[in-house]
Amino acid sequence: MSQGAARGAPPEQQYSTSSPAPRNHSDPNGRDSAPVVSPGSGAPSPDPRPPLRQASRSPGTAARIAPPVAVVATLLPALYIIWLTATGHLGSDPIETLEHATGDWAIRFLILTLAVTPVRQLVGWGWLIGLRRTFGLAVFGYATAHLLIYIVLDMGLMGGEIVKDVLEHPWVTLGMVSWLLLLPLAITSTRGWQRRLGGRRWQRLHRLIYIVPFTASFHYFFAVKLDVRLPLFIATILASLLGVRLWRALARRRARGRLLGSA
Amino acid sequence: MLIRRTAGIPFSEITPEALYTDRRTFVGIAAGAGLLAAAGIAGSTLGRGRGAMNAIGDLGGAPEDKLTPYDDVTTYNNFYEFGTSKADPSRHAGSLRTHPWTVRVDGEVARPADYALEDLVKPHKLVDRTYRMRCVEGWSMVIPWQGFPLADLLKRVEPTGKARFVEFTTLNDPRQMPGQRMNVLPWPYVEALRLDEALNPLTLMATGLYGKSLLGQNGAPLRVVIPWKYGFKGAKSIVRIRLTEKAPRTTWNVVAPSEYGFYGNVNPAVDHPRWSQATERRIGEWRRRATLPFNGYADEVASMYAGLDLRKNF
Repeated sequence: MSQGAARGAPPEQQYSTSSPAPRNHSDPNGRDSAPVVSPGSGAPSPDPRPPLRQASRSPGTAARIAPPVAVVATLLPALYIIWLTATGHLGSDPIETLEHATGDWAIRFLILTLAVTPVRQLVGWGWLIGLRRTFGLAVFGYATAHLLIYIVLDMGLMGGEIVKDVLEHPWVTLGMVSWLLLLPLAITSTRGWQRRLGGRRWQRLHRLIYIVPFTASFHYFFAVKLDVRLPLFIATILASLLGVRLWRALARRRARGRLLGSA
Repeated sequence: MLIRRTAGIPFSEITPEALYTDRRTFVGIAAGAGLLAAAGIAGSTLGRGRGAMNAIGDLGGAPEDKLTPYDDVTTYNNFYEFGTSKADPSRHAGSLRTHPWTVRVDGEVARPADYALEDLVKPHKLVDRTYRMRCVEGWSMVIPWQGFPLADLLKRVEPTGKARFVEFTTLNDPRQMPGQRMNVLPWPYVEALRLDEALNPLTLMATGLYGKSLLGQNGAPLRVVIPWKYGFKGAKSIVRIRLTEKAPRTTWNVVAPSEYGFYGNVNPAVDHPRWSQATERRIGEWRRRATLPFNGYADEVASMYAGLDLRKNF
């Protein structure tokens, strides 16, 4: 896809620092109303504005191929885990293996989800935005499997023990909180919910995803007995992905300050 | 070699492992009597505590103790000297050279010396001991060890009147132990027991398991097994045994004093700060089972801790 089409994709944030005239001035929904669906997905946009890209232009090859490829990619680890389970290759402690595998993939897909926007801004591939929901749902899917394995297999449905574990151990609490944060995002990930909530409220709700790196990193860090190199590495990546957003937000604020100052 | 075997093995009765039916082909009549005694110890040590298990209640009838398969015992290990994942030790322990091996015995003993491993082990009669092994992480195994009581060795080296603790030091050689190239723990690994704990008949210096010499991942060629304590207390690949007057500083206690005490006694009533110790998962089983006080060896060891606040001295 060309650079021009990429720039025309609905941005996560309504205007960029390079834009001479912030578009939200004329936007009734305010600046939080960006749709999250790809322009190439053919979905009806909840955004009432006419799309900036040329409507007649057919979606690029990447935009057409990437979404189904992403869906398959998110399912492959699950298939691999199921295959390991079915063939008895989970090792000496199968429950621990399952717990770790699902937790690892949840956090890997969290990285991918949060990487979509920075990478899109960096390389200008607008079609990447169409993968964000898929990755986000994968985070929820693996996190749900992780939680169920803990409840059913690890704790053997011992309700009292589970409640005690969640309440007494902050890292378990924060694992639970991470899943509870993901739950409304997964439920409202459909276009129907997007419309029902309205773009602005929908996007505000979906900013909950920015809390998950903190809760999930804490959960991972303290789940590890001693060797925290990998959790620290993961936390560093997540912090960088949030840091990029913070940096851009500050840059935008500065730019707006200059604009207002010159008015 | 270093291992003088007693013949005719009682643990083959406990679990019919095809693995060692082809081993132990000689059975001396004289040895038989001694072995019956050993079998008695192993059997009774395991047998205890089943009543206590049922007393815990809501877990239902606790299943019997069955030997953990050899493959699990030798591939699912915590031995950070070879890496921090469970599979690392079996992958990397091949670089360990256990021959020749020297063990320094020093400190508060009448006869400090550097022993060639053979000389250290040879005077002792090897016994079979099938023990539960409970890891502080919440999983457990049942392992048939071969070795000799630490008490026998201590009697030989004659502790002085000042000796109150026994300290064990693991080999420190990053060329043989690749995990030591990372400073996840301060090397060398050091563990210690009170002298009375060291002298308890259950405390075993192990040289083998399942009738085979120990593999590197299990602490070859010599390790200590203290069945009523969490696994981290059992120092592996020991190069030094030192008797001291003051309590030695032990590795996990130094690294995380709030999580790992000096004692490390298995205690379902005292949780690890980050997880419950009330239950454990036996490797090979799906359902958790209740963890027993002193890992089911309370009858043999609880008296050593009479009057001690086990919440403070965890």
